[in-house]
This record gives sequence, C-alpha cells and structure tokens, in this order.
Amino acid sequence: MPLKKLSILYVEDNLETQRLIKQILELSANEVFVASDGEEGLALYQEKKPDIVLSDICMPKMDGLEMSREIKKIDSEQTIALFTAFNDADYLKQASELKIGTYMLKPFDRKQFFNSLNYLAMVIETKKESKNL
Amino acid sequence: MLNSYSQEFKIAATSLLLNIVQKIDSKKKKQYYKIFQKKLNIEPEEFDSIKESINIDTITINEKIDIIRKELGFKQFAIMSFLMMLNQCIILDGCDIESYGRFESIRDSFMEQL
Repeated sequence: MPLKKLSILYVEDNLETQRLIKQILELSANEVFVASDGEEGLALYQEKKPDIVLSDICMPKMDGLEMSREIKKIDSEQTIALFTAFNDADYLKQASELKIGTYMLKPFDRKQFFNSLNYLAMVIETKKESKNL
Repeated sequence: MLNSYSQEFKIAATSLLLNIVQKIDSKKKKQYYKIFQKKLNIEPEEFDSIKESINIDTITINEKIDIIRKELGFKQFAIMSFLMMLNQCIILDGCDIESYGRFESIRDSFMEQL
C-alpha cells in the first residue's frame, strides 16, 4: 500500500523537529495530524483514527509509551512506530511489551525514515490481505 | 505461510534470525519454537538441530536473502509475512537496539527488491 494513501498521526513536543518531520510527512502521506504531547496525541487519535501513529517517547503530560498503551487498549492492532535512541533501553523493553515493533532510530536519517514508513505501509497492506484470505 | 519448505530455505531462515538476534535467550526459546513452527513449519527439534549445526557466516546475508526470496516465489505477500515474522522475533528478543538495527538492514535489503 503506497504511503500516499495512508493517514499518519505524528506526536512530538520539540517544535523544530515537529515542523521538519511534518513537512516531510506531508509530501508522502495522504493526511498528517500533529500533536505536541501524549494527551493531545491520544485525543487526536480518538478523533481521526489514523493508519499509522508515529511518536517520540519523552514528552510532557503523557509520554509516548503511555499514549501507545492507551491507544493499544482502543485498538490492539494499531500500527505504532516510536522514535528512539541507543540509550533508551528501558523504554524499548516497555515498548516490546506493548508489541510495538517499529522504531525510527535517532539521530534522524531521512532514507532510513522512509524505509521504515514504507515498511509500515506494506505491513498494513499485508495484514489487510491476510484478513481477506 | 505454512508450507513444505526446502532444507536450504529452513537453514537460511534460521541462520538469518541468528544474524539478527545472535544470542537466543533460553527463557524465550519456546516462543521462538512456536513462531518458527507456526510460520515456517520448522519443528523445535529441527530448529535446534539447524541452530547447532550451522555456522552463520558460511553464506552471506545476501545469499540467504536470495534463497528466501526465491523459495517464497518473489511474492510480496509471502516476503512481507516473512519480514513480519522476523519483526515479531525482534519484539520477543526485548528489542535490543543493536538487534533492531541489524533487522532494519536485512528488512531494507528485502524491500529494495519488492
């Protein structure tokens, strides 16, 4: 499934990073929704039900993991990817427990970022095909 | 994805997993067995036997990828299902970031050819 057909919720508290990634996402996805913390992200998720949730982990009010936990309670199959760094071992362990399987590794690498997004788009397509078998 | 796969494929698939995970936690072994049995029709004894007998560096990662792609008929659905299975193993592994980086590199090699 081409990324162009999908909607993405992007959650990031750093406004400069948010602006940069939002611009990149808008060129690739059908719709992009942006939130600045987990609470806002969760509210926007409930309203928009995007195909992919893309989130930073460390954020004020509600962090990316807590938000992901709440989203998984609503839809256990929701595709979520988290931005993470090498020193986030504890967070990664918790993310694994939530069955989050895709990460955007920091520092940001544009090619890797698109590879991961395309992979997610194809995972969504494969899951849909699988349900139809 | 359940099928009767060739021995060459089973060795390549198991070996590729070991390239990513490198050290299988004995506490999680049964879960790996379950995934390989369910998704690739590789029985636990067979999984162990391959794991013990292979040197993962005998053939390159690209050669393993070629064997797997060919056995899966170069079909996107089958290849994506295989990648999702490897991804599931990464989660099972607790997602050590270095393992994830190795998975990402293998995933991208597969996807370049889809």
